[in-house]
Amino acid sequence: MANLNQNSPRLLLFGRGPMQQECRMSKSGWKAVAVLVLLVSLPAIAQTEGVIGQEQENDSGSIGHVWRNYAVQQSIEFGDRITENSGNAQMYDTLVNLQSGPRLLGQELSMRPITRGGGLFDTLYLSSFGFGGDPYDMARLRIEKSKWYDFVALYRRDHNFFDYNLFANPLTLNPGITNCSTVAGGAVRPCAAAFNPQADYFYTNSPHLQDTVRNMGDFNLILFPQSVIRVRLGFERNNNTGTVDSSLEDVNIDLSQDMHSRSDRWTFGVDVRPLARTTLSFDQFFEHDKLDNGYVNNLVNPYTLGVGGRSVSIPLYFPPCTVAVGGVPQPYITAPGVLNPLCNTGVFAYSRHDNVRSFFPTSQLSLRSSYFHKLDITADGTYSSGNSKVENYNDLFYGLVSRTNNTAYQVTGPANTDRVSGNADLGLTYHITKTWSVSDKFRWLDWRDPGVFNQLTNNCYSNLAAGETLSTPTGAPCSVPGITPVGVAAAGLTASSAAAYNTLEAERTYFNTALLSWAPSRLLSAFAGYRYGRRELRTAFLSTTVNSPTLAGGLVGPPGVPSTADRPLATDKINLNTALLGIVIRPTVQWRINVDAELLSADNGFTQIAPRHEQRVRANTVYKVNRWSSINAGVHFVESRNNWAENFGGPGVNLFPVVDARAYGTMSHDRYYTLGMSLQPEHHASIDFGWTYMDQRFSIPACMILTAGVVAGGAPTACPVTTNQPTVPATLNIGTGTTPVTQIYQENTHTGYAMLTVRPIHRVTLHLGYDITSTSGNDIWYRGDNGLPLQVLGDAFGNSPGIPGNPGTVITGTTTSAGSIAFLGPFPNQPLGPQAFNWHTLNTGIAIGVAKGITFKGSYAYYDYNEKEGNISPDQLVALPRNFHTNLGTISLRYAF
Amino acid sequence: MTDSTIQRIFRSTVLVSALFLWTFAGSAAADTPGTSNTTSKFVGSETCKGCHEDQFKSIESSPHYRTNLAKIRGEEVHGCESCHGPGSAHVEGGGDKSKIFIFKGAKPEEVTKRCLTCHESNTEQRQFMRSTHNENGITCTSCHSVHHSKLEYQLVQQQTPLCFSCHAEQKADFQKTFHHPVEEGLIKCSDCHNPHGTVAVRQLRTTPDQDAVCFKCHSDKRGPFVFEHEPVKVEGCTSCHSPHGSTNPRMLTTARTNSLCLQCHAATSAIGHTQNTRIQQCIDCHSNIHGSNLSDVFFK
Repeated sequence: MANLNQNSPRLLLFGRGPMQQECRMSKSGWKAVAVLVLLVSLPAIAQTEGVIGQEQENDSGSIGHVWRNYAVQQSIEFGDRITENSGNAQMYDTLVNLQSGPRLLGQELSMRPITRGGGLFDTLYLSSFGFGGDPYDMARLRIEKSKWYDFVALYRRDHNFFDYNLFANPLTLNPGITNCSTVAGGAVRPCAAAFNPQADYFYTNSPHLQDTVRNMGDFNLILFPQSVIRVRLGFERNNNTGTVDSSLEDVNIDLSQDMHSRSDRWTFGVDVRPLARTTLSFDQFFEHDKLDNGYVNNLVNPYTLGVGGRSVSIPLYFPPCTVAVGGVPQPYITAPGVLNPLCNTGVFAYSRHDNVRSFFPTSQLSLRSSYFHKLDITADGTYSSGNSKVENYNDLFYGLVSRTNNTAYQVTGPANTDRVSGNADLGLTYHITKTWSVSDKFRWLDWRDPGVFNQLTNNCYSNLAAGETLSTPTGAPCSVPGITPVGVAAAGLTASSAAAYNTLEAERTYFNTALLSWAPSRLLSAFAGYRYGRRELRTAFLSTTVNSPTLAGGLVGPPGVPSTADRPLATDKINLNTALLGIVIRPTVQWRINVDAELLSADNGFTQIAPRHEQRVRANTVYKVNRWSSINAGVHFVESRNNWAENFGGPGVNLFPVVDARAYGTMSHDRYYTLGMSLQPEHHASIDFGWTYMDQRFSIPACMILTAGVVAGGAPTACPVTTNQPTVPATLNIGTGTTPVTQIYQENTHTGYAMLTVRPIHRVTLHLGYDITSTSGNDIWYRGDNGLPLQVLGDAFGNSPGIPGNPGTVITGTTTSAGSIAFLGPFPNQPLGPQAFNWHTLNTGIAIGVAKGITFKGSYAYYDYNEKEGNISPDQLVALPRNFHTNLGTISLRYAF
Repeated sequence: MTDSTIQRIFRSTVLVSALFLWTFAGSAAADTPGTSNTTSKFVGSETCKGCHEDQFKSIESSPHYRTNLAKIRGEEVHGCESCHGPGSAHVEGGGDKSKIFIFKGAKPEEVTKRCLTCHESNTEQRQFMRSTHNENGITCTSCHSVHHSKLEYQLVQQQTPLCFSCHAEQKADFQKTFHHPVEEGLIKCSDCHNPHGTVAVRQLRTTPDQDAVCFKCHSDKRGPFVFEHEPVKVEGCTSCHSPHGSTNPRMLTTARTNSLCLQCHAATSAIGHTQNTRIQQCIDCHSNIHGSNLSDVFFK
């Protein structure tokens, strides 16, 4: 349902502030505030774009004009942005994306009646901003006429650009530069034709780049808003189109996706007041979603198979070439843009298309009544029966999947999923006395998603001989409808399979919250309550696959005999008990202190990170100096536990074979500390200041498979095998040979902002603002035996185990060591990236009233993003740094009339 | 019992007693200005205008001018007195503030009751009595001002900074590198939360069929899918994402995708995924991680 409370971020009317300047703080109060301000240093400040100028605009004296019976005020602001970026432009586009060019920076129109009655409308508000090239644009219209109608229309446009290089370890993008020859005794001789990975496309762009534009419209009309019968009509459209890159399993190539997503929702509602203070409502919703996906292999920078050979898409990371010539390992890349034709992994062509159509009709009945003395009732019930269908699914591949010798395949088949949901809510509040009240909230929700997918696959294989290569698979790729192999005979091995999948996911939830509230006076109030919840999750999975015919080597199962994978209906249940406590103290009218807590205990969790015990404590204080000014401070702690690892291998057998406090299970905390101030001591000046510190940490044990021999110092004793343990869900069974480790993730983030606005003389306003976000942390895995950081061995480029021939890989005769360089594991030498950076923005501006109704504005913004890469040596960093700094100037002219 | 113990007990007793007396003394004092006299009669807004012309004019130019109409939705209203109560005793007392209801200094519960007399039937306000804001002593006049605001919906401030005046940690989240564009003005807090309360936790809105409000904009992640990634539907989007903002790409709760996935899939190793390999991220292969119609392991 569109939110009627949506309003422009800017003042609707130019000139006078929204509040009358009648409430000012006393002298003694100001002394206290002055001391506080002096104790706090105010660095240069910045205000984010789009907010600057709010409420502090110069009053150039324009008060609009009268048109018929309306007082009309308008303003329009045209301007231009000038951007100069240095550093990683993709990061700037991802985080800020304000580009050079002219803009409609703002527009407002307000029409209010001088006398009530008559005319097509009572009030009209129209505002917009950002058109012309900003990533965020909005226009909003509200028009209403008292008893007759209230109409709100909202248009929003969001350009979502994401090109954050997600290569967590760019070093393993190294193509496995191998020796051109090996030397007995361990000497290493680099290959003369070493490949420079910085020349490759994938090193400078995100493999999951996104460039989409979302256009959203929300329209809501209320007819007869003051009458006994009220009608509500609404329409929402969400249109999202653009490019979203993805990747394909097995061959790991980058895919380019052309996405079109459109969601339409119609709403019809009616409110009836059959009794005093009682409203009965009925709403009918219809939602229709369209999602059209089209993927193709990304050929932005294709490689050729050998010099002058066929174009081929290469994977996101380059595995070592397993083909050896005369015992000499071969390089994967022989020259920039040239793939070694002897290596196996590459794709000639890939495409995948499907159209998803979904329809969700929902009915809702609601009751709201305070007809009975001291009793407040709300009740709602909804029912929805929706459906989602996949049509025209066609998936084509042509290349070589070296793991299976699959040279081509085509997959088709319809899919269909229903979503049925029912819901009932009941809320009661009984005011026992003026001081005491009780309330109860009950919520029931039951939904299920049964799904069916009938998949038909046609496969072509080479003849499974050893040493198959992408360029010359023996047996030749066969013909698959839609794929025409070039230059090879239509021969080879074929197989097809028909698979039927039936799935179910369903949940039933009950929650009841009972609360006792006590409010003896304005100075104090408190509440205590209890929430009980029960959740039941049901899942089922059944697949039946029939293959024909069988192939040599038994690659595909015997023909005609269905193979099944079955996870019968399983039900997980959770009972949750939560104590609720809170107190509110108001020593003065302006000062409020809140403390509240939620203490949760659950007997189960659907996931390992879902809390079985959780404490949420929040303390907050706000001092409203006056309606324009406030000071606030607070703390917020969330402490969570899930002891899933205890008794994991049976009664008394924890996950880890040794006693380790971290083998308890999941432990996490999120702790926030905040302080903020917003003051407008005079109409001519305002100060905003704030600081927040976030401390986030979680600890989770795991049993991890690592390649044999890579753990520095020897691997700890393996985790206990837990297959078929009755106390352990099947999905959490641990196999043999796993390494006990504990992940500890820590993030500390400081966020600060300050803004100063002064109006030294009439018609001149100055702004100065500064924001900073500074984060640090680490993500370390610890051994489960001695608690020391896990280290894995690899070569100089972070491949673990090391690639033969690379520096750091010791070769002794025919034996290659895992590597001689130890890295913090298990992901060798990943840069901290987003766990260590500083993000600054500085903003300053001036607004000058040059004539009546005309204001000239100029602002300068400086953006600086800097990652702390102290743990990476420069010659190991092959991906471009994500750092950037940008100067952004904006000049504009605002005309109010 | 030692002397120091006795002194501690004595000090504690004095402190508790002072708090007790202060509470009830404040109660008695606080009741005085906000009390309305039940024997008083309605005098009409024109009478109020005689002394309170500024307030009268502010009401006339605001949506609350409708309180001066004879009836609204079949119920009689009395202009100024529809909120402040009958005014005859206040007038006869020469403006005695104890003879009429004054919002400033009144108990939040009293303020709430008066506003909801008219606004309780609105879709947005109907759950306020059971809202987290109400439980924590936030009342209508904490955010709205009938007499002094010229903003839409008579907010005391623009919505975003108003919310941030109490919810400062959320402001910090929206300032992080990856965030919903609230500070940019494209989204408001009220797009996802109903400040007047909902049945769901954190006062979150839902889709009409009670699904997560996230799917209003992110409809391509909604499904339903043949192969669901269960936590998405069961635990919600916040099991992997920080909804306000994060320092991590895609607003994930961790900096590295693998770290996030391995929080739950610690035993994925049973399937044979060695972790010290060249695989960059789980989602390089498991790309349709929000759910898939085509692959039970979310490859497509």
